[in-house]
Amino acid sequence: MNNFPLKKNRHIWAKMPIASILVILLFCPGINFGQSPRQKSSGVEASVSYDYLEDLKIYFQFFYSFKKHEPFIGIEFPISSDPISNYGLNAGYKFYPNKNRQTFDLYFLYLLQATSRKLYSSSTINGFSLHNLLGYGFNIYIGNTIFVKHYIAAGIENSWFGAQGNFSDLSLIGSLGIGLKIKPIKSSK
Amino acid sequence: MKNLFIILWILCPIIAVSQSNVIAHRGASSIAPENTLAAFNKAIEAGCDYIEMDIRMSKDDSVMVIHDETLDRTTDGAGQVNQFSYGQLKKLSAGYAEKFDSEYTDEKIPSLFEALLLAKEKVNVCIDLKNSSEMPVIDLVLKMNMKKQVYLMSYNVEKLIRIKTINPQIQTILLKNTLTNVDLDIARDIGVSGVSTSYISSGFLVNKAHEVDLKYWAGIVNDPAKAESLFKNNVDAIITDYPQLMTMNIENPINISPNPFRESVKIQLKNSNNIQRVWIINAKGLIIHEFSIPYPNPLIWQPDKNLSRGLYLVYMIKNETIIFEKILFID
Repeated sequence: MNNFPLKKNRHIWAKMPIASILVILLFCPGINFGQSPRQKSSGVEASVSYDYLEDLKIYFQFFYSFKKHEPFIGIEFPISSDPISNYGLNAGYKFYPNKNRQTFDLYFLYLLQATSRKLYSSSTINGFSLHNLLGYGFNIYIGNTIFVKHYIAAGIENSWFGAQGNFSDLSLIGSLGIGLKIKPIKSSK
Repeated sequence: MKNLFIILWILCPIIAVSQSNVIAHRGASSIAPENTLAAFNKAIEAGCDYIEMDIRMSKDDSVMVIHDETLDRTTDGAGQVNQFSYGQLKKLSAGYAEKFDSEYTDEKIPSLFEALLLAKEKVNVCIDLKNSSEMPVIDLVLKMNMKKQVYLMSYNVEKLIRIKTINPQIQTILLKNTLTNVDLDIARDIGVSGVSTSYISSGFLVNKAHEVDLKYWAGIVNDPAKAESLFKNNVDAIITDYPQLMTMNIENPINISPNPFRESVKIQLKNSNNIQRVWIINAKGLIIHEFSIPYPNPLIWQPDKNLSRGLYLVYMIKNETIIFEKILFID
C-alpha cells in the first residue's frame, strides 16, 4: 500500500471552466462583430495559464503576424505556491481561419512547451518536460491594439527524469490573458 | 490524552495506510516486455500493489498471458494466438524486440498458471479476461486458493454476471472506457467489487461509486503528479505503465540514523514542509517527547539516561497524514 503525501486538491477535471468551453464551442465561430484586413504586425502578450498539474503560470510572449499566420515565442514562470511545473520556454503557431481579423477572432493553435518540473508535489527529483499541444482559442479586440486572449489546448507530455526514468502522458492547458499589438492593424473604412 | 495515544498506537498501521494502490498495467510494461514474467517481477520489485494482465486462449485451450489477439506486435511469431498450441506459443520470444531490442529475447509468453504462481502471496492480480472463457480461469484461481488475491475484469456485463453465478466469492471489476451513472448502477446490481475506467471521468463519479460500495480504479496514468491528484480525489487505485515511478512516492519520508541508537538519534525529514506535530511515543502509546515548532531538519532526540531501553516510535502528522517509524533505544 502506498502513502502519498498530498499537498492539495489537484483534480483539474472538476475545476475546468466547462461553461466557458461550451460557450466557445457553440458561439465562437458565429460571432462576427467587426472586421479589419489582416496585415503584418507584431506584439506582446501576457497571460495566465492553468494546466493539468493544477499549476498557475504567467506567460510573456512575443508574436509576429502575417496574413492568417502568427508564430510566437515566450517564457513562463510559476505563480502558484509549491508548483510541480516550473519555469520554461514555449513557442508555437496560430492559424486564423478568417481572412479578415474579427472582433472575436478565432484561431487554431500549436504550442510547444519545454519546462522544468518535479516528479510529484513533495518530490525533490527534478526533470524536464516537453509538451506538444494542439488547441484553439480566440482574441477579443478592445480597440485596434489591445485584445483579450483565451485558448485551450491538449496533447502529449514527454518527461525525462534522468536515472529515475521517463514517461509520457496526456497534457492539458487553459490560458487567459491580454495582448498588445505594437504595430496596430488599420481599421477598414 | 493517554488513552487516545494508546488507541492510535493500536490503530497506527490502519490509519497510516492509505487507499492509494498502484496497479502495474501488464506488469512494469515501461521497463520490461508487457505481460511477461520479467515485467511482473519488476512490478513486484517496484512495490506495486497489483499486477494487471491480459489473457487469451491457445488452440488447445491453455490460458496464456498476452494482450493482443495476434502474436505480431509483442512476439517473434505471427498470426492469431488461438491458432497455436501451448507448446508452439512457448517456443516464441515475447521479448517485444520492437521496443526492447534483444534485452528480453529469452522471455516467453507465460501461462496464467505461471503468472499466478509468481504473484501468489506477493501481490494482488487483476486479470482482463478479453475473449477468454471464464471457467478455466475460475477453476485455476480456486485451485491455487487465490480468490482473495485475484480480480477478474471484463467489459462484458454478461460475463461478469456468469462469474458471480458460478462463484459469488470471486472478485470482479467492470471495465468501462467512459463511465456514467448508469454504469455504476449496473455495477452495483451485478455485484462487482469495483469499476475501472479512464481517469478523465474520475472526478465526477468516484464519490458516487464509493456511496454504492464500489472500488474506483483509474488509468492509464503515467504522471506521478497526476496520480497524486487522483488519490487526493479518493480514487482507490491507479493503473500505470510506470509503477517504478509511482511507488517512489512511498519512499520513507523520515530517514533515521543510527537505528538502533545509544545516546541520540537523528531524524532527517525528507521534506519538512507542512509538518504539524512530531512526537516520540513509547510502546504503551505515551508521549515521551514532543518536538517544538519550528522543526529543525534534522531533528535530534537525546533521551534521558534514565529512560528505559526498548522500542519507540517517531510519530509525525504531516498534511493531515500520520507517518511513523520505529526506533530502538539500546544500551
